[in-house]
Amino acid sequence: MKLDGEHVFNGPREDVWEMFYDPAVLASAVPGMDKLDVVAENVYEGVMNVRIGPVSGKFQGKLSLTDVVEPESLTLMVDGKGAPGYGKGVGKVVFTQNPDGTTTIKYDGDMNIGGALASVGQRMIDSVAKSMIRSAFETLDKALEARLAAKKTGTEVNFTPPTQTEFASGVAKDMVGGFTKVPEFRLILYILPVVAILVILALVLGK
Amino acid sequence: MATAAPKAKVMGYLPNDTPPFGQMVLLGLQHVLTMFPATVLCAILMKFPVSTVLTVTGLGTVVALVGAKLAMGKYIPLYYGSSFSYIAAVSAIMAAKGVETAVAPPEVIAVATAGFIATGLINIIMGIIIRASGGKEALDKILPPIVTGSVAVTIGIGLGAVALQMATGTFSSTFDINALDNLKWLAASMVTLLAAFIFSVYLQGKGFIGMLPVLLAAIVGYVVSIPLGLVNFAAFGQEALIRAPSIVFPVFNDPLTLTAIVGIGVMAIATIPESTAHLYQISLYVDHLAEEQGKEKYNLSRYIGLNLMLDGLNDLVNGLFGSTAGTNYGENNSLMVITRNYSGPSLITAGVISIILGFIGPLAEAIASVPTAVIGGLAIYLYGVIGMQGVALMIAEKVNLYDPKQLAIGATILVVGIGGNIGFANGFLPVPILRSVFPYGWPAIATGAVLGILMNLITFYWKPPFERAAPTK
Repeated sequence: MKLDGEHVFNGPREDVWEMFYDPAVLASAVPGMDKLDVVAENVYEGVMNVRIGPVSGKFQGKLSLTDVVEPESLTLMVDGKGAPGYGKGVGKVVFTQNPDGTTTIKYDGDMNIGGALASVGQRMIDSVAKSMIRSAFETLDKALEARLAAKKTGTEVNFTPPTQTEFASGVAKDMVGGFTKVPEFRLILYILPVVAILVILALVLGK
Repeated sequence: MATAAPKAKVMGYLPNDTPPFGQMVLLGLQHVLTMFPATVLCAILMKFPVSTVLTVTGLGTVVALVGAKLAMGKYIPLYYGSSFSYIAAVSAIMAAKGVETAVAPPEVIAVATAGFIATGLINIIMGIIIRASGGKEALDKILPPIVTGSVAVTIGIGLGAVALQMATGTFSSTFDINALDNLKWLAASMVTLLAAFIFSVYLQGKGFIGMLPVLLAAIVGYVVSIPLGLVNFAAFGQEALIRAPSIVFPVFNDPLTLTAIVGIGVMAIATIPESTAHLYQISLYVDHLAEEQGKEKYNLSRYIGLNLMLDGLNDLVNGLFGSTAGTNYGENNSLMVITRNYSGPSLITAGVISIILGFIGPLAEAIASVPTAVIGGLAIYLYGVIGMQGVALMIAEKVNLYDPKQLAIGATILVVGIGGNIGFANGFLPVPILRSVFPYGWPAIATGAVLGILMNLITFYWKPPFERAAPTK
């Protein structure tokens, strides 16, 4: 599965970079992840609670940062295993300082999913992945805001990550809105009335 | 013009392109000519009225193309003609009903078409399952090439006896091995077979004409049959110039309906890999043209599930109106590759032309006058090719025929399917179970196919200790 896109952070590149390098913030951006432990330089491990449709369970995850070019780009590798299956992903993240003081990050990656997790269907996974990324950025936006505010006033960072429930409702919203965009679903919406009309037509002509 | 001069225009039409009207009609006619021999032959061999089949397969093609466009905003350029995969299963129903005429009576056709409805639904459900479970791997697990390839072999070779009966005239109650008529019959069928062989081998790569070996062989056979007195000219002039094709709605309360639903419905598994292969093939060529024209790729191969659903929808249309179940045609794919015209609108035009052809009475008469000997000669070749394509599928997918698992699955499908279809009355196995569902016995080819699927599923859940490797050269 391809994952790519970009996001604009409302803050200077150095602060965004720094935030990405803080395991506590990274952990808070991933729903269901309580904390990340540093096991080696640029290598983190943590436990993540995943719930996608009918599949749920704990994931043992490893996250590593390679090809680090501070503060421009890095490659993020995720490797998770657990009862619900496994997931492996690699993605390149590029940080660009904008003239207006904001920072654009561009990401481009590939994710492979296997085991029971894969059986819930590509569509579901796509939606969840998109929701995860969107919610991660929302969290990071807030985290950055809190960090910048703290930096300004010199106080402690005051920031609480969103709960699992908030994340789940986000996924649900994305699923419903996206359904009518799925070609196969639209085809069913086409097949039903067409077949109904044809049945009537065939019955009339067959007489 | 220092910046980005437009590329030289690469000739060809992408699926969403609409050629000018004149070209569109010509391209549509070519499509019709390409699908015509196989579709008409299918209709004749299954004892369906040719005019109905032409009209309804045309309609089915239009419905499927429009469906793709509405569902995903782009056409999947495929033409849906009649499928050979259903001949064996349909012939069994026809034989069980004691049909002896060239075209079966409507009440018998209505039983067979109930089976096509089942086929359509199976295709649609498989499409949804594949979409939900992540693509081709899921398909390959339930229907691995050893199953689909072997089923294709049984469908083709299982019809071997029928082909020979037509080619020799032995199905007739007045057959006499010493009669001169018999020799004439054999001469017509063998000339046709020889012509089909020569045209298909030596006209390859000769452009459009190289794609019509069957049509050309039929014409040669027909011409040879005239002096032999095998063409019945009395049948001409009976029909009005323009008349509506007969429409038959399926029946679901006949004693044989359940047999038809199972026997014919299961044949969907033979068209699924074929349909998927055609999608991959056309996707490759479409994207190649798109790249050359500097346009966005279509990536049609991503839509395996959707493609099967369209296949199923087309079967539903055919089943509802008394026509034969369809499949997308490799012949038309070849035509599109040769002409570089993948335009959806010209395929729709082809569908409309086919619809109109069904209304032309003399055309149906001309087709009906083709001697059975000629059809028999073609059938030896065509039925055999269905079987050979099953073998080709297994070779292409590198099925390991040294592995006991694959051997056992293939062996069972072949013996139950071919042995059952040829050796038992009308191809029904005398199994005294579920008599209410199968009053005439179990349809052999479907039974073989289901056995193969079940054996494969056993090995899926109960893993063999190891797989015997193929010997290396």
